[in-house]
This record gives sequence, C-alpha cells and structure tokens, in this order.
Amino acid sequence: MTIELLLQQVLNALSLGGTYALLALGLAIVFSMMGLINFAHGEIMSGAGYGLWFVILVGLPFGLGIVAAVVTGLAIAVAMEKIAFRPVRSASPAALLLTSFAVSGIMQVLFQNLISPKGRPVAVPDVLTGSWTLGTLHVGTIQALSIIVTLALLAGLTVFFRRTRMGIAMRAAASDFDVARLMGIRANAVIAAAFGVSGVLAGAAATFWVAQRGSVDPLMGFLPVLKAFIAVIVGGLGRLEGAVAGGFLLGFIEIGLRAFLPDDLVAYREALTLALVILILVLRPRGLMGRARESVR
Amino acid sequence: MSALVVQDLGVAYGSVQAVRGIDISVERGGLVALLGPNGAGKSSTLRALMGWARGASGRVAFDGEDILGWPPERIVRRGMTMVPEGRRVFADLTVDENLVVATVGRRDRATIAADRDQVFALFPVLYERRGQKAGSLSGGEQQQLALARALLSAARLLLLDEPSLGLAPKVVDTIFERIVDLKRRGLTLLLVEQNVDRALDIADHAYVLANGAIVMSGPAAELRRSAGLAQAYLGLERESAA
Ligand SMILES: Nc1ncnc2c1ncn2[C@@H]1O[C@H](COP(=O)(O)OP(=O)(O)O)[C@@H](O)[C@H]1O
Ligand SMILES: [Mg+2]
Repeated sequence: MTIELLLQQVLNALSLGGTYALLALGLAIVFSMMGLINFAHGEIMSGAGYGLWFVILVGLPFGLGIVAAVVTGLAIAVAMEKIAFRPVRSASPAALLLTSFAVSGIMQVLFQNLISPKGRPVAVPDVLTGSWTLGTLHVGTIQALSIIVTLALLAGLTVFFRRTRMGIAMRAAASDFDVARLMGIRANAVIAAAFGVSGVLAGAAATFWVAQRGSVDPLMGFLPVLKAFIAVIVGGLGRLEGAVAGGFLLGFIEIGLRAFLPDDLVAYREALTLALVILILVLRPRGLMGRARESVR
Repeated sequence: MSALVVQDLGVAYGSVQAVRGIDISVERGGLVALLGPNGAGKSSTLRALMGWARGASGRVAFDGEDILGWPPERIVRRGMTMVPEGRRVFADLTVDENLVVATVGRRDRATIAADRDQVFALFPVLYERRGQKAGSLSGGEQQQLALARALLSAARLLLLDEPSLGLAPKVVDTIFERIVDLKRRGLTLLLVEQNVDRALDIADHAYVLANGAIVMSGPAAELRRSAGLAQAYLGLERESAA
C-alpha cells in the first residue's frame, strides 16, 4: 500500500468521522444537560437537509443553502425542545426517551407527506464536486471543506465553553443542574441553548452529508445519527470530548474496514464495526473517556 | 422588619411528611439558627424555601413577596440564595469559573469585578487557587468557595445548610468567622447546623426542629443558657437514633 493511498484514507476517515463527531457532540450536549438521548436528532439533520434543498430549488446560490441548513437545524432543535420536551422535562428518563421516539416518527411522517417519501435531488455546484490533485493525492473539495469546517466548529465550541459566560454556565448546568439554578442560571435558557448548539451542529453535518450524496430523503438522518449514538457510547456517555473522539474513531474504523477488508468481507463491514465497538466497551465499559460516577456530592 | 416570613410551611415526599407546618421569621440583617438532629427536616425546609422541594405548602414571604412555588433561579435573582448541604461546588470547573457562574443571574455587570475582588479579600485562599479545578480543593476550601459563590450572586439573604459538615475543628473556626463577617456586611442569614454550641454563639435567634416540627425557639443567648435545650436536644437525638 502506498503512502498516498493511506493518506487518502485518512482524509476520508477524518471527513466521515468529523460528521459523526458533530452529530455525536450534539447528542452529548443535550444528554449532559437533561439526561436525554434525543432520538429525534436525525430528524433535525434531515430537516436541515430539506432547508438546503429548498433554497437550491427556488434557485438561490448554494452558499445561502448552507446558511439555510444551519438555521433550519437551529430552528427545528429549539422548537422541538420548547414544544415536545419542555412540557415533559421533569418526567422520568424513560418518558423523555419515548417522547423523542414519538417526535422522530412524527417528523418522518411529516417529511414523507409534505415533501416526498422519495429522495429529493440537490444540485451541488461544480466547484464543490471537483477535487484537487496534490501529487497523486485526490482531495475532494467537499471533503476538504467538511474537515476544515468541522475542526473550526470544534475549536469555536471549545472557546465558547471555556471563555463565554453562557458556555461556562452550560458546563455548570451539565455538572449539577439544580445547583446551577441556585446560581441564577435559567433552566429554560441553558436547555434551549444546548438544543440550539446541537441543531447548528446537525445543520453543518447535514450540509456535508447532502453535498456528498446529492439528495435528501425523510430517513436520511437515521443512519448517521445511529452511528453518532454509538460514538457517544464508545466515547463515554456524559463526556463531550469523548463524543468527539468516538465520532472520529468510528469514522476511522469504518473507512479502515472499507479500504482494507478483502472484497468478499466488505459486505460485513457494518457488523465488523459493531463487533469492534462491542470489544471496546468490553475492555472499557464506561467508554474511552468515561470515568467513575461523579464523585462530587 | 422581617426579611423572611415562613408560615405553616409543610414539606411532603409522597406520603412522608418531613416538615409539618412550621413558622419561622428572620429579621433583616439577622442571623437565625435552625437546629435539630439528623432527619429533623432542616434541609427539607431550606430546599422548600429555595423552590427545590416539590411537595411544599404554606406561605413564604421574602421581602414581602410571596415566593413559594417560584423556580429557584427567579428567587436567586430576587436576592435570596442557598449554600446547599455538602457544598456542591462544580468540581470540573476552576475556582474562577465557579465564581463566574455565580454572577450569571446578575444585571449589574459593572460592579461584578469589584465584588470579585472583595470576595477574594475575604477568602484569600480562593485567590491562590483560582486556576485550580474546584474538585481538587480541600473540604474547607470548597466550603469557602460555596460561600463565595453565594456572596457573588449578590444575594441579600443566605440560607446555609450545615456549612461545618465534615470539616476539621480548625477549619470550622474559619468558616464560622467568615459567616460572622457576612453578617457584619449586612447580610441576612438563616443557618442550619448540627454544631449547636457554635451556631448559638453567633446567632441572634434560634429554632429547634424535631420530626418536622418546631419544639423550641427563642433568643440564642437564652437557649444557650437554658438547660432545657441540651436535654431536649439529647432526648431528641436518642429518640431519632432509636
Ligand atoms: N428526597 C427525599 N425523598 C424522601 N424522603 C426524604 C427526602 N429527603 C429527605 N427525606 C426525609 O425527610 C426527613 C427530613 O430529612 P432532611 O430534611 O434531610 O433532614 P435534616 O436536614 O434535618 O437532616 C427524613 O426523614 C428524610 O429521610
Ligand atoms: Mg440536612
């Protein structure tokens, strides 16, 4: 195997893993705040994809479509929190989980009936579908952009969580929600902010996903968010860094298996991915970055 | 005038009645102790005052405003806060970040920096440790951070739930000195303690709670002198241990 081919696969893995990382981070932020794994996160992503699709459909430039995807992701996530989760916030974790399943199902039906059960094509401009050639290395423009934007978003969020009052307040709320409220932090505001951030990240992920596939469909978000959920568990539930690491790890495992498995085994790569994930969890039951339960009291 | 008036406060956890209709009043600028053995309902009382307990009933007036049923963040923004039992600092956040969080509810942003300097003057050890994770502090330092946080939230009334819990006697001295400092600065305090003698030393007035009801109350000096307290208290201890 040549070094170029290896580099090529590393780029593929960074791109795919980065998308999983953005989705996993969104799941983890909401989980850290209210103990909910939001199974409707995939529909936020699909909805953001439809935002992109709509803007292209009416003939506006792709750049505006990206903005539309992010704004749609943000709007759906915030609306979802307010309409579906706020009224049941103090209910049991199981009730919250069921609510998220219901929201997911309802949104899928809405996409199917209001837009189409079939995939809708999204025309991606030539500048984005092209690739750069560096020696023998081919770097897809979308791929390169997705890696750069993902890293920029992760860096931006790190600054947000370390330096801004809202970011620090969100970390406090994630570590002890009741005491955070004693500090004057508004429960509604931090939870809405958590959903908002998760929506923006889902919007960015949707853009990369749609740009690489050229279409949107009602079930589009299901598979990547399932992967992101696995990434959250592998990384260590409740650790934001863990979710990001888990996302990238999953990207590397998937691309690695796709690239290096013998042809007759490639069909089993999803199963092999899951087997590896299970192996990691057997070795580290709390995930890569998980730690013993909060020792603070 | 009273800063806090509690009338017929009850707290129920399902069918368990932890607090059974108690009356408490705290004068503005006063330091009132709420004493009683383990399980008497002291924490439940404070939690109910802060909007932390669900099954609370009765009437709670803070500066004349009926606050029972308000969410905690609204009560804090109005000027009353609690240092919870067990300190509960944000362990993964630095000392500085813990203090930033405490100011989130404030509108007077301009005065925060000056207040922070004052807090550091009152708790010099926090200044030394300001870049450290709060979880790495000793118990006494964490308690000071918890007090500093409450102070920086600009509350006029503090509810303190067993600030001496689990601390070495010397450290307890420091904490009690700081509590007296807070009173001197004009804060109103409601102090829950198991450390009866020390609490009575610094309090103006005290209530003794047992099995969810007030069994004794009066000026701290009087309670300290009365032989009845020690007996009543020990009796209660024995009773609740039995
Ligand atoms: N969350 C809760 N659920 C059920 N019972 C509780 C809860 N918290 C406290 N209790 C009960 O209420 C009573 C009073 O507890 P608490 O207010 O913590 O007492 P104190 O602070 O005086 O030690 C105890 O019998 C305790 O077991
Ligand atoms: Mg208690």
